Amino acid sequence: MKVLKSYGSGIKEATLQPKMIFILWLRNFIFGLALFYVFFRFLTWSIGNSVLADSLLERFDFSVFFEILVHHDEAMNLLLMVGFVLILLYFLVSVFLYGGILSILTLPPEAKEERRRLAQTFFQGAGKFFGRFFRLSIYALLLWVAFFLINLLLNPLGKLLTGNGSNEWMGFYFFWIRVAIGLFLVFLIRMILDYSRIEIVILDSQAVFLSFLKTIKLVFQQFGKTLALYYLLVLTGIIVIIVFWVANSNLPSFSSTWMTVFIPFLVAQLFIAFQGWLKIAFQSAQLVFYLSLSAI
Amino acid sequence: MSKILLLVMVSLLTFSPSSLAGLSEPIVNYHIKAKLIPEEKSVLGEEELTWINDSNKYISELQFHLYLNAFKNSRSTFMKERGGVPRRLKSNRKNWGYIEIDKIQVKDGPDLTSTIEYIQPDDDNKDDQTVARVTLPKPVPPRGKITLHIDFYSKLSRVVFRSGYHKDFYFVAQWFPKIGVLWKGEWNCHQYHSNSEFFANFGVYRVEITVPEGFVLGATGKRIDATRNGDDTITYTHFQENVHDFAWTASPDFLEFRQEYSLENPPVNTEMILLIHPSHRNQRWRYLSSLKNAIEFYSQNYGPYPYPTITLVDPPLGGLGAGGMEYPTLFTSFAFSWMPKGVYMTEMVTIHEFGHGYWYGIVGSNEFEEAWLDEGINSYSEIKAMKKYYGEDSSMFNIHGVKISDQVFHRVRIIASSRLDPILKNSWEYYNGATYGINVYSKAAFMLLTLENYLGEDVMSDIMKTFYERWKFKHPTSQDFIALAEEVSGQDLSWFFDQFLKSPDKLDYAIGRLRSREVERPEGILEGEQGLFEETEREEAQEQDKMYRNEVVVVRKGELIFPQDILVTFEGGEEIREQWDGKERWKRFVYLKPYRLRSAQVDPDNKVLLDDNFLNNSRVLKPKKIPLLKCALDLMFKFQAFLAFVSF
Repeated sequence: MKVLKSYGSGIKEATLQPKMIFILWLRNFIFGLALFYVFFRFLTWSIGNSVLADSLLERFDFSVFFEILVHHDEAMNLLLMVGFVLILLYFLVSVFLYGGILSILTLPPEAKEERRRLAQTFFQGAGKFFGRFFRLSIYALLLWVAFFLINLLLNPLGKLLTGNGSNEWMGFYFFWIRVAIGLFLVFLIRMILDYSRIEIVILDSQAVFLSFLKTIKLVFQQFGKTLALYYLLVLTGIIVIIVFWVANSNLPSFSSTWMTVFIPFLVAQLFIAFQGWLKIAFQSAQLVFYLSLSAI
Repeated sequence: MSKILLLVMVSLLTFSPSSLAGLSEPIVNYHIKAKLIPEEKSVLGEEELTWINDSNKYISELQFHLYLNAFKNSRSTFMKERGGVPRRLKSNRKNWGYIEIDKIQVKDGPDLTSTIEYIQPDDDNKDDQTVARVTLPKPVPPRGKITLHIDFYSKLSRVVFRSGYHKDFYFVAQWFPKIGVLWKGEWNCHQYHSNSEFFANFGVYRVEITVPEGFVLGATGKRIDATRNGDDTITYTHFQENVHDFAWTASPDFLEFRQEYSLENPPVNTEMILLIHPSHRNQRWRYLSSLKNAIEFYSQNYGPYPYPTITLVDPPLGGLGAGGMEYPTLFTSFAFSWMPKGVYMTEMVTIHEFGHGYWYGIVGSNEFEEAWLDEGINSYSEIKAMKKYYGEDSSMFNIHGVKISDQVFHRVRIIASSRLDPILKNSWEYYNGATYGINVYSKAAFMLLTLENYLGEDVMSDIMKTFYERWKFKHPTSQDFIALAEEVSGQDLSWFFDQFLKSPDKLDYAIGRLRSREVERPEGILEGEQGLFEETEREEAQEQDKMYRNEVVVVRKGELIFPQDILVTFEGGEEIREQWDGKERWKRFVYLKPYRLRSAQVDPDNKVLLDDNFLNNSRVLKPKKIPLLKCALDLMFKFQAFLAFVSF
């Protein structure tokens, strides 16, 4: 019941936060736009003058893509580098925004003034917790190291199960089992970090490492419930991805080429905005769950 | 026993040697008795070889390939050229392979064993033992023949390159002492190189193979006998004329599927034999359907498949080193049990390796010296066959709308290559394995596709059919192919082959400049002026008489020359096609038109497949932004979705 209640509260709270959804969408959009700009310039320079550019309107044509890749490999490398730098910056901005999201979500109902000055409260919180959350990200490397060690340990197990690679079907299944294990671990680490951040904000704790250790303990003590809540939210995300995919595949054809480009773009941005909503739902639901545990 | 005898009798009755009889003079005649010794991973053999001296010289020495010695140690030329020994060989002393001649003697004559001497005709590597010569007590005269009796022992290596074993799977190829080719009066008997394949005389093979009962055996040629020996072994006898090699495989795990294949036009009757590893049973349909496609394609495009059998071997996962290799009437492909339907790798390899039955097996070019003649012609055939059966743009990959063709796969290899070698070169003299592969497979295939587009499909089809018909069961050279192409097409093609076969240089034509300018009315003091217009009249006249000077400059950026078509389109919808011999470094085309130029394309029909860069083949005056916008927005969304997923 506690899990379902937390899930419901999280969904409700996220829906009541359109401004925060907008901030999260905007963050994502700006980074996407940066890559778009670089890539658009690159395309204009590499293929813009060619008749082959028309083929890009129809579908992704690998023969054209390979030509670009081979003949403009240095520019492509540069593009990859830009992408990498953007990912790093995005990570830092995300760490920053966490503080804002949690500051808003943890506001007591009576804090009307703070709710009225939402942007100010949001960015104050973001600034306040940035240093602590950044340290938390560094401590999280311990978990990522463990993740890679587990993966390494799976290698000999795989060899054993597949008869050193000679049992193809076992190899095939084992590959997917590894993917599932990998995803499970990634989600587990994310969940631990979510609770760590919640604990830091709720307790206004400066002892980041201690909070980190405490939440690892908490997650494993309440393993079934924390996991159930997390996977309910993951399931929500999957359902929306399917809805988006179906909607995108069934978009009507437009007579105007501009509409052919613009409408899918609009749908895509709605999807990204939903991702923002889901992020808030994750934080909110887990916050409610954390508070319900503290109440015991 | 009675069942086996019945099978043999039926086989003999249905075996029709008439389609092959007399197609070539059997220079060699091998009768081999071989016994597989599983516990030693070896083969004990006796070989009776009759060889005819078809030169006009007296021959006082014979040269033999001892290919398995490439796997004897790290000092063989093969291993040195590879740049190291694979771990699978190094890990255990038992994993190495070699061949020993225990005894060689003239039948009913002197013992020549003491005259055996390893030679290295291609390099100075004294450690290489892949070629040996024996000295004869008296020379073989022109058109004379000699029969030798050879006892040999072949220790198989773990299968890493083409032949060897993996657990109970044996792939036995290049396994017996094989005489070199006396060609143009000289021995053509090259060492086993990392890049090169093989060359041998056509002949008759009768091979008796003894394996433990329970092993399923596949081999070159038709099975004509099977006898249980009473000691838990069984001896299978295979016979085949007009082949230049003999390979076999055995495993207790093989599942055997036999299916008759018939074609009316041209008439083909053969038996397809599939030996498949149990874990790949679900891929059986894939193998058989692609093999049927291959037989149909090659029979209809080159000539009817002439042999009574074709055996397709599917190696197990640990034996993939044997996969994707051709031998007369037997070849290996590969598959994975989980391979999705839209990935046509198995189909491509099956068609390619079957095709070698024609380009190598029947038209027996020298793979050591002119590998393009089999690999290039066969890759050309493979691309065409894959297009026919699996789609123009999806012949390699077709899943959820993502399509990649076999042709694109080959093209990427070519345009990404470093152009260090030409197509025609001794196989072992290439810069490395990659440049060998790119040149003799992909670039040679594209050379032929370009030639086809230049001459027309019908002419090219005649060339290929005539080449096959004239050179089947013989040994053509590049020059023979060129001469035949010129004869059939009625054109001098030396300019084509001199460039594309013998030069590593680049072919690249591009639209260098595109310009459209309004022609200004003449000003100043001009002869013949009739006086001044009224201002309003002049404006109207200007609007009506507006002319544009449209200029297209086509440039040759590469060293190689090829005649080019150029398509120029105008805003009014008019199209003009130009032709240029492509010899100069650039060529300007100017058009005075009442409308502007829209675009220009060099090679608009995409005929010159060897052109290095398709991106610069065309140019538009006003670039369209929408396609670029769509593509960039697609990437933007994918990046956004990725960021959204990884950020929290």
